[in-house]
Amino acid sequence: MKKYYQLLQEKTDISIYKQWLKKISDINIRRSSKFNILAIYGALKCMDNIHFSQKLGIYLLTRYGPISNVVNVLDKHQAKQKITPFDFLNINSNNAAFYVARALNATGKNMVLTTTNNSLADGIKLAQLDMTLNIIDDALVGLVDESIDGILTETSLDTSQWVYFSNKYAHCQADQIIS
Amino acid sequence: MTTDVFITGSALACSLGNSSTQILTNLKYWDSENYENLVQEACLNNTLYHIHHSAQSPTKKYYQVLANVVNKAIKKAGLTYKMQEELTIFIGSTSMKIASDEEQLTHLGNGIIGQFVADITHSKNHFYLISTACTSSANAFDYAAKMIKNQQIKRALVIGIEILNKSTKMGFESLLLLSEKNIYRPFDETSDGIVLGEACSALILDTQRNSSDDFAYLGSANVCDNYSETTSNPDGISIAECLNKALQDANLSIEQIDLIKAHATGSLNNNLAEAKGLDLFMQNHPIPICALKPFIGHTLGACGTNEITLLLLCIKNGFVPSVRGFNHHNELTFTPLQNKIKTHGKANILFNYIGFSGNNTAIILGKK
Repeated sequence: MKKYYQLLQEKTDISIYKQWLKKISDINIRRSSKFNILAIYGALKCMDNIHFSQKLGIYLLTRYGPISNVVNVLDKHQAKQKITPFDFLNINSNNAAFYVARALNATGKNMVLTTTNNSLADGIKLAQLDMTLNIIDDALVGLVDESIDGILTETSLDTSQWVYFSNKYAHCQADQIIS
Repeated sequence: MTTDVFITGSALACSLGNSSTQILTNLKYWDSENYENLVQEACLNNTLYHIHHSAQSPTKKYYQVLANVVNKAIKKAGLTYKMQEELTIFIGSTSMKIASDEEQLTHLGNGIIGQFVADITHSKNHFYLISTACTSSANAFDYAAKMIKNQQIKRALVIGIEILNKSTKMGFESLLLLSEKNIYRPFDETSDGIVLGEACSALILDTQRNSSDDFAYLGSANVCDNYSETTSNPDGISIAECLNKALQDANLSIEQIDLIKAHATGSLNNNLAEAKGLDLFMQNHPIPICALKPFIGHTLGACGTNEITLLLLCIKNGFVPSVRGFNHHNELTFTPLQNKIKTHGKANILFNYIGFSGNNTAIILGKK
């Protein structure tokens, strides 16, 4: 493992994260979801000052995905309103990994997986396999979720946790994290 | 150390039917003369290819279709209770359970789908849920096969599922990607877009053949480009790169590929990008190209396993269906399969898949 970054924050408005992201990147995130912005921000913070291979694999894990956007679309159905292209694009969770890859100019894999236990383990397992098979050189594994406060009865924090692995140290360090 | 990987069981529920017999029977009627009528019939008023199912609610339909398909694949593979316990589960889907959420949002997160499958299969192993748009179940298959090949897991159940929901349909409508004429015309110059489909399939991957006609996994690859959220890079380079990497992974030469199953969405941009990618890949080695979406619609994240299941079923029954809806395209350097071809149950097939956000996946399966 080369670097770890963690954002854990009480439910915060998307505008704040947009401001934070603008300070570190000029990527166009106009009308993008909070989920996407959390993902890009955390990933860029993790990769700050790291020289990595373009064959970087991105593995994004999420429990709820872009849940506030999903709820917004469900509400629009209830109200018999049309959904817009941005409504639709923002409920596709794989957009987040795409934007992370674009922000980092990475052309290795980008994968989005559902986690049930807020763990990076599934992503690390796939990254480890891809690195072992020389499909990617480096890996960036993240857990991204927006707070679900106010949706049903559960609560959680805005989360963007990322771990970067280089091909040199991947195997032993990944094993340590999984265990 | 690596081991062989075989597809020992499969099942598919789609607009053509919910069993292999129904699907094969209906496919026989899909000749080019009555294609347009059959599409209208298959799509009914929903403007998409739909599964024939009598469930009273979207949630019941979702889980009943899923359970039926999984149980059929397990039965086909002849898995004992003990063997089922050893299954690692891989599920690929674009919309996951949004069809159920639209009815009532009772449970946040999609992990419940994996748990449902683990419960009905008695699996004591892990489940992976992958969402990479239209390559979701292809990537699920890719990882399952690679994990077995590299002896990380013993056997796998790979599922693709996409069930009718308003969000997907209205979303594609909003992007102006759906066919107004509601006719699939892959690679044709009159193609005016996608016709969505709902379907669910399941494949059992194992280290031993269950039957002499089981196909083997030979290789696969995934390549991502950052060109666009919604379209492939029109230069086709990343698509060709993905196909070449799969060929390399399978340790095959291009002359050893008998058939390409194109992604063939029907959308203008992806038709052209894929055509360029296929052209770059084939160069001076023309290979027959088939496309299956005219029969079952674009089943999005589930199309990976759906189209593997459908095509292998056809080949095992002695034929590859021709590409319905294609007539002509001036810019195309190849002609998609115009007539049904006979097989003897044997072929090396290259499956090509392309997803939103530049996610390309290619899988090679074979039996010689």
